[in-house]
Amino acid sequence: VRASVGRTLAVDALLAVVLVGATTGILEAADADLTAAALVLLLAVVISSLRSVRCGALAAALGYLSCNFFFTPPTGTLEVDRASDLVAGAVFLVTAVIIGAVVARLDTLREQAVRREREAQTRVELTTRLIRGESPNDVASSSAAAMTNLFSLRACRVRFGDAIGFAGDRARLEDTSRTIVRVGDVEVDLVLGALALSGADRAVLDALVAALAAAFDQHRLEIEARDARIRAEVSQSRAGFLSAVSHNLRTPLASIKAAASTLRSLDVGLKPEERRELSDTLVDETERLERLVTNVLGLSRIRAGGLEPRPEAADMSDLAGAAVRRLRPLARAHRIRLAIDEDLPPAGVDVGMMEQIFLNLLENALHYAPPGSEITISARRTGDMIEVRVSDHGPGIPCAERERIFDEFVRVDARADRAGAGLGLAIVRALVTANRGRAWCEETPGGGATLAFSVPAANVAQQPEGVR
Amino acid sequence: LTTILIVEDDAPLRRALRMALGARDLQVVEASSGEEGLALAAARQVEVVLLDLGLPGMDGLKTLTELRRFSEVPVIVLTARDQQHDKVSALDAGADDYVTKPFDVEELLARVRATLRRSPTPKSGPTSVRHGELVIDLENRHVMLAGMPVHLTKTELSLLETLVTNPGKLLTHEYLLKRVWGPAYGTESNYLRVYIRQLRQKLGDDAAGPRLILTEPGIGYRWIADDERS
Repeated sequence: VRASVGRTLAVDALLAVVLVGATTGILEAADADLTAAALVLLLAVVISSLRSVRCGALAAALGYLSCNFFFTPPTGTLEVDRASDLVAGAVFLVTAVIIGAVVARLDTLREQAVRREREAQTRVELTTRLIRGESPNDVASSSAAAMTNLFSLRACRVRFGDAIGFAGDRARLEDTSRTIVRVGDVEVDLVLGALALSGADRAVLDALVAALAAAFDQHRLEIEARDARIRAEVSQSRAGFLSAVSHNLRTPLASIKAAASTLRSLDVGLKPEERRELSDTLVDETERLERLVTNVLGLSRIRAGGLEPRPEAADMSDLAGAAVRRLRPLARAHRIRLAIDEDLPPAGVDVGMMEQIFLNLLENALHYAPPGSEITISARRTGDMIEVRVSDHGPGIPCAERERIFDEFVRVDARADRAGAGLGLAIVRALVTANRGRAWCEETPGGGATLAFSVPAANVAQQPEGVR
Repeated sequence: LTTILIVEDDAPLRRALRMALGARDLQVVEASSGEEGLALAAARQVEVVLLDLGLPGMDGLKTLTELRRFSEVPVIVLTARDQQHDKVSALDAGADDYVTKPFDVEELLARVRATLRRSPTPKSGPTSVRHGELVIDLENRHVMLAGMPVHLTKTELSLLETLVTNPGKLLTHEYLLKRVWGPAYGTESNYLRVYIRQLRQKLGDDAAGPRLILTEPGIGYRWIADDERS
């Protein structure tokens, strides 16, 4: 510290000597008289004062000596002949010192104003970033850097709760001489640079830390509010999911029990075609229940991570045909068209999972497509993949919903909870992904929804990774 | 021929019910939504309505409220087991009874018959009710058990009257409280529990194997005595 103070003193002295010396040289060359010399030397004092009070005072003293030695008769000596010149010299000295002090003071004030503004800007910027929800770690680092800069620190560490940021020489932060400022959950540790903090600086620092603490509190309140909102949404969608699943499971049960109890108690009174129809109800609804149970169990297996596909060569038209046959009872009012090339290569997939995918996609289409409309199942090869599409001419799915329908909690409209849709598509996506494929949704040309997926063709899937 | 309107969105269940009720010589009219059900109830002569509470779109409760604006037709609501709250709301909104899905058709038919027996409500109710050794003289507000007079408080008597004059009908907590204690009441089901217990004690009924008053947990009470009325 002493070395640096010495250095600034040397600079001050050098500046004063150079300025006064140069001025004197010019005045001598111009052969100026005492009055002109005194005025011009005052100017040199003013300029020196802009540097510091000390520099100004040195220049005043040197200026006085220069006036006396070079311009006051008898010149070339420090003697003064006339009493009036003695007074003039004294007045020069006093005036120079006063002007120097005033100028230096003004300059200090200007500098302080600039600093206050920088401090205020820093405070506003940092607190805004915190409140806007930026990561506390980032803001802590920025704060440490800003404080190091503002107060010329050697090192600084800022903590917002668990978040932490550093600037400067980290090792010094373990010094016991460090200053600690703590407000609420904000803690600032700092190691001073060359200069001690003035009272004003300390006040600025405290205000900055207090502002950061308030902003951090607000930041945390907002995070908590957001978390609570998310938790509420999740629990609401969970409740919706549970109620949809229980509704879906109970609905076929109601028909089964109604049909079975009628058959039991009225066996004699029923006409053969009525008995036939009740038996059909029993079989159809049992199958519907079975599909639902398979989906629910499938979902819990997926969640438990127990999905291990066993790929083998599987023919897409066989799988599509099987799904159509199984869902025939549901599809009495629809036309289902298969558009699959005979020479389409087989896919390399788990056949059981693929059956479930086809069933879920077709059941979904039957659920949304209006009676009498056509549903198309098409498949083609693109590169190493087989692409399958199930297209209906139902109400379609808005662009914004096209990703969300694969979410297990999402039902696109209120009617969807009636046949287990929303669960089925989530399972489709999980199963397709497990088979190294991709599932998506697009618009059917002419209107309606098309649910599509792609899976690797068999020859590709059966090669080891990286050989293709 | 009795006409029964089924408002249910699930087609297979409608089909099973159509067959089951049709075989019992009930004429079945079907609606798949609340709106359609209201239109049919307004257009046709219907004796009983079976109303699914879990309808998509206009739900069962809303349909019931709309129906009650223009019709006093008996309504039996079909509900799921986890819709306890909806059951109570439906009964308070004017449903006559409920059946929980999945149900045995015999149970449904029993409820339908009981509902049909109760309506239309006779203008002048019975003046006395006899069940085994129990005689309830409604006109003179006097109760005898095995030839001995039973002393009932005013509230107990009023509660008994309300139950006896609605034989077989499920009366909700709210209905009984408003009827017996007054319109300012409705949530104090603990009062009811206490008074029903006292009534059972004095009338020789048993909560575990009730012959007179049946508790529907969380919903209300029913007078189930197979009594003689005069």
